[in-house]
Amino acid sequence: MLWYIIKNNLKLMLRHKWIVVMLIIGPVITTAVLSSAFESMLSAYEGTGEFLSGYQISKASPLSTYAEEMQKNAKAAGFSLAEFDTGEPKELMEKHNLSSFTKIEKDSYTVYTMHGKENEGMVTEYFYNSLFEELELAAIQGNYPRFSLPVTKLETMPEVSSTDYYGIIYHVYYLWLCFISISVVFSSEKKNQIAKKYQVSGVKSLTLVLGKAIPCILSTLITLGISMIISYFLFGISWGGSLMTPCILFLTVVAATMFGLFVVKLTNNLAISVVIIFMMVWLSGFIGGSFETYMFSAWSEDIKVLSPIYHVNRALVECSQMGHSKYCQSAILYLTGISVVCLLGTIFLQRRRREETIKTTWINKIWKKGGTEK
Amino acid sequence: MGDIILQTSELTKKYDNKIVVDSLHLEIERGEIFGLLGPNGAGKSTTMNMICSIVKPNAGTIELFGKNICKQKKEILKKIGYIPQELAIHGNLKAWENVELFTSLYGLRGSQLKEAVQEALQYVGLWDKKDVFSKNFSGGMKRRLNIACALGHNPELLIFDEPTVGIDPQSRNFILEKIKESNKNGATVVYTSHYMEEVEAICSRIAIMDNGKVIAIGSSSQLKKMVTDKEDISLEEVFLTLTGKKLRDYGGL
Repeated sequence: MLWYIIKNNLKLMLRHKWIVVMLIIGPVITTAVLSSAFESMLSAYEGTGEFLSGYQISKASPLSTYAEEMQKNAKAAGFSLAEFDTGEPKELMEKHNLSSFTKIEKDSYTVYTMHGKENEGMVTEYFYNSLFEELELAAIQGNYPRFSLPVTKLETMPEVSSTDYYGIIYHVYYLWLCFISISVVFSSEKKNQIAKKYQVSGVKSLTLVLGKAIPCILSTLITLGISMIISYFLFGISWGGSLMTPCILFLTVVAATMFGLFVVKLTNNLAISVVIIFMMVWLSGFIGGSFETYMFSAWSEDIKVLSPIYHVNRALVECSQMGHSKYCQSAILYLTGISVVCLLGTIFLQRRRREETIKTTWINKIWKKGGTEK
Repeated sequence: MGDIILQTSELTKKYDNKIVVDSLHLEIERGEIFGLLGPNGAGKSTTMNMICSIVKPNAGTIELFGKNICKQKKEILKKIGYIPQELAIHGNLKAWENVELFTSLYGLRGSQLKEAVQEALQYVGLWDKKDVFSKNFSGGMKRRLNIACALGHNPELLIFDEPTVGIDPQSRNFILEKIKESNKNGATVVYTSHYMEEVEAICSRIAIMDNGKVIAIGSSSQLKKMVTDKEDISLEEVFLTLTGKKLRDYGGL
């Protein structure tokens, strides 16, 4: 039974040519437009060579006894540290040609950078952030103050071209809009009052939900695959060779599908559902780097992590450039959570809606619109 | 009375404190074509929705094939074929795809399903149009396809909800002939329509509902005798006598 529902719903989705074309061509066109518009922004993201960074450290700071380790860590990170006991940061930076300067207090630090040395400033900030994280961890584990700062090479992502970045981002963005392909089925069922036939047959709510979800996932994967091939030949977009990439893309499709189904069942109105889904995807993408890149975004990290699209974008872009990403785990958890919650919610609402729909139809026909009842 | 295939007892349904079906008692015998008539708002659709398990009753029982529908729903629903008034078919699916989809809901698959689809389309005279998208069908063809979608799983009870609305006389005649043929092949039929001559032509027994209750039941001739001794009275005149000539629009009950 499920197979035939899937098969015929898939036919309904793929026979709607405009939607199929939009899901294939949409990412391609958007990539072309945005990658050229934001090319100059992303080209500022360059690797840094060796540079000199100064610092002043308060005696009260826990890092004050780790000067040697800090030097070694800085060397491993690709820059040198110079300590200054006194002086104003700006004057010291100009006098000694420092790319960045850090004032380290007991529980905090402030990084100063020169104009044109923003990348060096980011590397410096990332460096001290890592050191403070190590200190925090040591304090939690009870090893402080007798612990050694491990010397680790800071891992930073190589520069990414705007084409690769937006190519990946916009395929992800359009995946979240895959609900459009199920809307065809909902529209046909509502227009032709097919829900009654399903009820009379006694088919289960789970079967009906999966009968829409699976063809939507399949049709989206088909259009995604075609779009990726076209983008590869037109723009040479590189997705990297990580196995996490197809896994995350697949989970994104599942989560987007279940989310779309849930919103439709919740609102019981296709038009309102489309508006809500578009708004939420837009907002999530806006925070998550679908328009302004997440590297240069003004949103704080605390806000960005609320967006599932942020985790997916970051995981896929970093996997494409580095082969791995620490955001893969959070992306997978987030997407799985959305899928499960929305699936359960959809089944629950599907069961509840049955009699309500009949009642509403009857009332509207007889008492409000003066239609005919028999 | 013969073997009872459908029996309702004290069947009641309320919407917002308005009683739509009021302690309905109905018995339908196996093998008959049973007509259900009534003015707008009489409760016919609601009764049929309860029989088909689309809507739950507030009180009372429905027994189909000797079993309580609330307790053995899945088993019973497999034996029902419901032909709604709406043309419940997907326009962007071909004729055979529509029949396949709706027949598969009753558990048929593989070659058994293929055969059922072919038989159903041949039965309604649409086999040669099986690869045509249903949106390109005429009104009469869509009605026939609607019927085919309900026949594929070989149901014992067929429920027709105004199956001839908006179609030409030839198509209407074809559908009525097919209903009689299905009945001869063993199916029990419950038929509702506002076309009295149809009901009179094919139904062996007719129930007239009003305000949620059956106000008269019997064969066409028995109903006529309830109202008058004249022999040339039409069923429509009987209906109007029993239910009144007042308009039954919204809020008029």
